Amino acid sequence: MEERVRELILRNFPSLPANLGNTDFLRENGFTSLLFVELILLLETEFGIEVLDEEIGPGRFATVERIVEYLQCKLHGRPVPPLPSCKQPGPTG
Amino acid sequence: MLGPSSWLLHTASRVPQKEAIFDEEVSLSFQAFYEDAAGMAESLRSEGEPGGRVMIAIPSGVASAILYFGTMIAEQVAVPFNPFITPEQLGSLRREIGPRWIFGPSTLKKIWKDPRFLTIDCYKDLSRWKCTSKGPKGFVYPDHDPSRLLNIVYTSGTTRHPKGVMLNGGNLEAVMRGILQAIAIDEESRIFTTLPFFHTYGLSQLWLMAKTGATLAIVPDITRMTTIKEILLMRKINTLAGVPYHFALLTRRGDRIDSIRLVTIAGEAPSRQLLQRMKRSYPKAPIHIMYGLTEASTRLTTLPSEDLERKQGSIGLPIEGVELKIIDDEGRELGVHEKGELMARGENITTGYWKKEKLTRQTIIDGWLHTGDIVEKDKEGYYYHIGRKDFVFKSGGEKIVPAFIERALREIEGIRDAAVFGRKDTFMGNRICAVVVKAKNSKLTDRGILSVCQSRLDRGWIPHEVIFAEEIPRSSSGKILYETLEKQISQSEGREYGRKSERIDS
Repeated sequence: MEERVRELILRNFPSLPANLGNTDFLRENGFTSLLFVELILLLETEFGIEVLDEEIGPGRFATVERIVEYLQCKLHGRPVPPLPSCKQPGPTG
Repeated sequence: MLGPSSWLLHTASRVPQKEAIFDEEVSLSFQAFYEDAAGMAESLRSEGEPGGRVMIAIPSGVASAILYFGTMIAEQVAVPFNPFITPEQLGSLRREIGPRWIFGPSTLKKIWKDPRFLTIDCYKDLSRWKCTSKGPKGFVYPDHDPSRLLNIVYTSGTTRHPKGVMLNGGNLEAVMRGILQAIAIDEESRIFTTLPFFHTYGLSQLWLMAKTGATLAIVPDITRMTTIKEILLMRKINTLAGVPYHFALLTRRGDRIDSIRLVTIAGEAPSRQLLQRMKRSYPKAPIHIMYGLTEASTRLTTLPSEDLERKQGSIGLPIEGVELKIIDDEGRELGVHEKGELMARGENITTGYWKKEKLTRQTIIDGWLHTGDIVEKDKEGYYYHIGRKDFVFKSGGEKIVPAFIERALREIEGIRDAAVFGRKDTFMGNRICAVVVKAKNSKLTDRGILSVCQSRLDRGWIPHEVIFAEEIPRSSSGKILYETLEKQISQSEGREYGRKSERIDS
């Protein structure tokens, strides 16, 4: 699954480095909130899921690993873990 | 004292206890907000004469707003700044700005490595730099000089080199008169936005709050949906201000919010589909499409909401105090339905770019700002944005405006995004090359796209070549980066020429 998500993201966002690690922060690799919006819409169509507004927040889609963790919950009907409690008012990554 | 700090002072004395501004962390009344700003001003003022630059590289929020107003009360120059700028660009810009202070989050401190850097991660951090004495009493207010420099706002545009637009008291007074005459924002308004303060559209929300006594809710990033949803539903928000992709995310579920009574949208022309979705989500809200430039203190025209259907795709009429005209390449004024470069004149137009006299002289001539935007107007005087001058190219002797073709392509079912540029061609000067991002399961072929174009574009504007790509590179404000795109295409073609793009010998 991790490989599939990584390949999907690298294919759809060619501005990301090819050697992007699964725990590298997308935000630190040039990802803007515009691209995060595209990522959310892409995950919905690609995996046929509904990303609820309450599930979108700081850190949720920050790295490939976190995206995989989120998708596994959504695809197997498990509750999505609460958002990491980083109170620092910064962008999602 | 002119401009935002005097507006804030008057509003704070008029409605001291009214909620002025809040973010995820803190909410302040106008009285408390003014005292915080004035407290900051005392420490910023005490260390140097007026006119020092203060770089504010903190994500939009209450803390950055306090620093913004405090800087101007202290007669220094506020320079709101994009925290995610590339290190290479940062070096040259810091030398150009020569800031006395830099306020930014701790995540940047290590990267920027600058002795003038003061860390602000949240509202409480301000108290470290703020004088304890309460503002207004022992304070001498600066003069009413409309030409005094208040802000330098860097404009990203579509070129690589950002330039610092200087805005003075006169500019801001003029643009607020124009905006408030066209858009119904007042003390009852409770505005929500995620617009960054390092763009003037975002800054103008702060000006509106200070001038009218409206309440402003700020979240620094549209993808913080958990908090945004809560604010929209629980904090009596009735006004939204954003750019198209903000509303794309907000309205993608189609959930209705009847409490929204006004929506403003600028930055890029919203598609027809997006406008339909926005009307369904905010049925009680007139929608104002607006157009402007940083060089015009953010605003040049607004489209009255009642003309949304009748004047589809229009950017509307000039705001009060703004004169517009359209000229051809030789500078002759053009008439109705003639495409040319838009010129603008008015008190809201900048006096020029910080430390770039040559560029200023090329851009503002006899008081007329050369906007670099290609427009046309109809017989009722409504303006239509066609595209950017600097990406115009000639093909077969015809002047091609990429954005015009891009908009037509994006309206085709199955196309998610598109960009057009000219590729050198000995026969035609430039081949019109369309880079298209298909929707996931769209079966569209390049021949299919071109046949649809036949019915929607003038003959000379039909692309000669269609290349399918995964993404169109865009800047942080969503504008297409044509140079990056061309490099990506030539690199990818170099490796797998023929597989991705089929050359069409029309």
